[in-house]
Amino acid sequence: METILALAIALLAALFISAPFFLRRGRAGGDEYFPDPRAEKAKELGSRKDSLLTAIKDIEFDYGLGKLSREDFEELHGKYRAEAAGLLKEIDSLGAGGPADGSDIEDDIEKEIRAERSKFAFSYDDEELEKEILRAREVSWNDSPARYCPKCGNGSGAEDLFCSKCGAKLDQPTETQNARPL
Amino acid sequence: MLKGKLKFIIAIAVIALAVSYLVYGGVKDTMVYYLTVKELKGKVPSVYGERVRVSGNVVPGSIKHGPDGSLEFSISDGGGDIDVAYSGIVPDIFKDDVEAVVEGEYGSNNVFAADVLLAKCPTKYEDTEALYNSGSEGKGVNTY
Amino acid sequence: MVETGKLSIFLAFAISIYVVCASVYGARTGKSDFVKSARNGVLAVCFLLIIATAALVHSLVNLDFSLKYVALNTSTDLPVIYRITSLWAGQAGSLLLWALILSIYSALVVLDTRTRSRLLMPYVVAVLAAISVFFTFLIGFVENPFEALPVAALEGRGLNPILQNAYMAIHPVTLYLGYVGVSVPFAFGMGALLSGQLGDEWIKYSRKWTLFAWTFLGVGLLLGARWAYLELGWGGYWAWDPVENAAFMPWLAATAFVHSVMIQEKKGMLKKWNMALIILTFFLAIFGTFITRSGIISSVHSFAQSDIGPLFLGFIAFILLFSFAMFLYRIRDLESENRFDSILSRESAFIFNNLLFLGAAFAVFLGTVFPIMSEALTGNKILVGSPYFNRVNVPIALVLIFLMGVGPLISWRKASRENLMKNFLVPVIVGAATAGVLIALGVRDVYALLSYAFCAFVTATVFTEFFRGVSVRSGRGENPALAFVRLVSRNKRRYGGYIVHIGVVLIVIGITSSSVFVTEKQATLTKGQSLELAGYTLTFQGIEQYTTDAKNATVAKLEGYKNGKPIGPVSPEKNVYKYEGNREINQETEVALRSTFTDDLYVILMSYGEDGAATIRVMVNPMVSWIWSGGVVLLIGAIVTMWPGGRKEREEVFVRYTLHDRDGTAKV
Repeated sequence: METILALAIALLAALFISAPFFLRRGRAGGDEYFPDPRAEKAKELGSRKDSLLTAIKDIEFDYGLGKLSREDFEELHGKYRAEAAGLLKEIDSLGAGGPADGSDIEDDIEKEIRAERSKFAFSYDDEELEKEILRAREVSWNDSPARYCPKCGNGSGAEDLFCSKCGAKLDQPTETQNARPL
Repeated sequence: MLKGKLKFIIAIAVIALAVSYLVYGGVKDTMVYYLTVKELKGKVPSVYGERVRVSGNVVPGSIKHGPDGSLEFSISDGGGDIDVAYSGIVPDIFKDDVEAVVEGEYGSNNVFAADVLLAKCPTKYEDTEALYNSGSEGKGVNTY
Repeated sequence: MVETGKLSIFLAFAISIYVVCASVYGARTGKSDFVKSARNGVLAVCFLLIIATAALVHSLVNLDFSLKYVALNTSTDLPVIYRITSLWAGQAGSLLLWALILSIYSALVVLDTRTRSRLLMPYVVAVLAAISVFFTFLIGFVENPFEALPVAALEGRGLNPILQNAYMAIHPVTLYLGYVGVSVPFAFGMGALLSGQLGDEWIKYSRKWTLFAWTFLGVGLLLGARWAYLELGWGGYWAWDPVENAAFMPWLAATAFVHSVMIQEKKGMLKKWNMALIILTFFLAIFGTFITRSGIISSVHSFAQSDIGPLFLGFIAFILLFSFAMFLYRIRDLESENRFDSILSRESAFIFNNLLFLGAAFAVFLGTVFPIMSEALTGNKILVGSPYFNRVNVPIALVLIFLMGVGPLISWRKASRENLMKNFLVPVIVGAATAGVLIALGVRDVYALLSYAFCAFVTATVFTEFFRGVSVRSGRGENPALAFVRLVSRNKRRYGGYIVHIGVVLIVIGITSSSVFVTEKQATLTKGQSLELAGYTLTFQGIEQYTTDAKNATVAKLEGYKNGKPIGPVSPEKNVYKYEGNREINQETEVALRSTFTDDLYVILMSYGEDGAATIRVMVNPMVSWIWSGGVVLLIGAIVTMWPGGRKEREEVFVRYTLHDRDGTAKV
């Protein structure tokens, strides 16, 4: 009795392991396990874009917490945006459509970033809350930045009157409540 | 950037040196020789007053409990035996014929004043002989 | 069942070998049938080892004394629950459990990556299967749990009474879950080296699994400490015993890895370091299993020599040679994408954290193998004891606690004065104030002062982070509890990590208090006499004896008072177990323990005389309960960190904090 059980188990294991070889005959052929480089590339670009959008949020947060210096934040912010734009372009070129022109891409990024934000807004606007958390830290120490230019989205110090990047006049700190980066 | 790099190397070197120093000092100040009874006897008299760890089997019948929880017994390893005086917590498995490990000083009165007492079973761990006879020897302690 | 179990182990061994070959062959030739077949093989091994384990448990529960393993580890009078836990009471069973857990983890890895990481996975599967080959070989051919006795025994030897309690039922399993868990990140690291897929993928899986293994190792260590404290009856929870160190070393290395991996994610730095670290962690885990199982270093957890020592050494040597050869082969692909800028930066805080953890691991390793090394080098066996480990590790631990406060708040790349002022002013004040108050209260021990001050510093940094977040959210009308939950769930890794840090702080406070301020006293009392210690008074009422089915117990009856108020009876016992199986170890000291938030009253019955007098030893260990509650907090934090779901869960690619100077050279 036990011999039968043992043999059954062995047989079962052997069948299970060799199944991929048998099952293959039924298929049309073509080795689909190893990825199609094109699809894989598109997937990778998509993930990379997602991560860049998250990263933009992350550096905003880190900057607000004082974990990134202002120059670093500005540079990273610009770099990520540029990189995201490049990625979108590449994704488009991988797809059916031809390369889009620059301004469209800028718009697309704006849209994506907004979408990224709204994705995590539950009943409250979490994004706003997070900003406010940052601001609370600023206020409690009564110094330093975490304001954004209402025009170009560049970060600026509390003492600045004009945006260091585009030269737009900056709002008073109390009005930054509604200012959004980008 | 060389200056920055240098700072790092210095900081890392400081950590490495500090750890090495701690290890060196720790080893130097806390190391003890682990001897058998025979080796201990061979080192008399230079071993007097030096902190050592000795292992040997508890001589059957030699265990005497003092009134205040103190303990006297002898350990041997075939190459002689020594008397041990100990006061403190006695392991549950300590009894005649187990292998005892004691740490302390061997005094010139030839009594080993121990402040650490550990006990191990002398026999092999998976001794199946013992399953068949009901004699008193041959059981190991095994933890996970 | 025995035959089925035996056959299952042999089959698992054979299939593991097949998986290694098929997986590598499939990946190299691009024949996906082989890769798929290998993946099925992993699942089959898991299935077979579950059957083998079930068969052994069946034999243990039904007391099949024709099996050597059953006869050595159970007896007729052993309750069923401990018959089951005997699965890991002995050598062969423990190794079977090791192999089983590994096969379950491997199966989980295979199921988790069904559609992902197809270039990397075949090699990861091959490495996991290679480890499985070793362990199934051990249980199949060297220490077979189904080995029969020449003649069936009539009665088993039984299970050591000190192993018959709830902690022993879960502590070894928890530790094994941790030890074996380290195999998975190692397999991913090796898979990355073998396949050349050295991007972020392996790091992502490795971090997840290392965190998992780390949690189980940590909890296992704490459970072991608690077991020693409650059961061994010497008043302590940690003795720097080789078996304890064996689990502590991989935990230290894994702690270093879960930290440094963040630098690789964010900055693409430390790639070589992380690879080396995961190899080291796995080495220490296998080395730990080796120490625990081979009995090469004598330990109070008394093991005798066994045959598996040389095999383990061979396996360890093979792992080290193979992994470092692969490491060197790929070393060019592990170049850093960034470089260090300032010594006052988050990156360097992590580097120091890593160096210190490794320094501690090295010191523990050296201390543990010192007897072997000294005997090999000088012919004399030289030991280093607890004082060595404390002297080395306490200062290292203090610096690490300090860094635990600094790391989470300091800037990336280069900390500015504003950053330091803004984030550290309050915590530094809190830390300094704590030290000041303690000095005023008369604490003069420098280590204790530093430890408390640093703990206060860390707590302050973590609490400001939480407080700011929660107060803003609740200011918006959310109730504070909800605000807290939302805050944490939005960034589980960050806030879970903070919770873990708080757990560590509680543990450190408990360890500091109980080791610096412990008081003890021993006295022989006759009826009516009292003993006083640290506000406690114990009045001896006499010796009582009682008998149960299993044991003859002798109890010292004491009435306890704290600051004059009665706290009820305190009754330490000495038990003599009746059953035949365990004559050598049939005595058990049962301590009386009264644990409170501020201190533990720990009473041991040392001996009793025929005249009715009893010698008792009393210890008052301050704040030991903080260690256990810290363990619970640590576990909660780890669960939060690992909790699935949320925005980080999709296919994640790490975006580096990489900056460039105007001329295009990397700046960060």
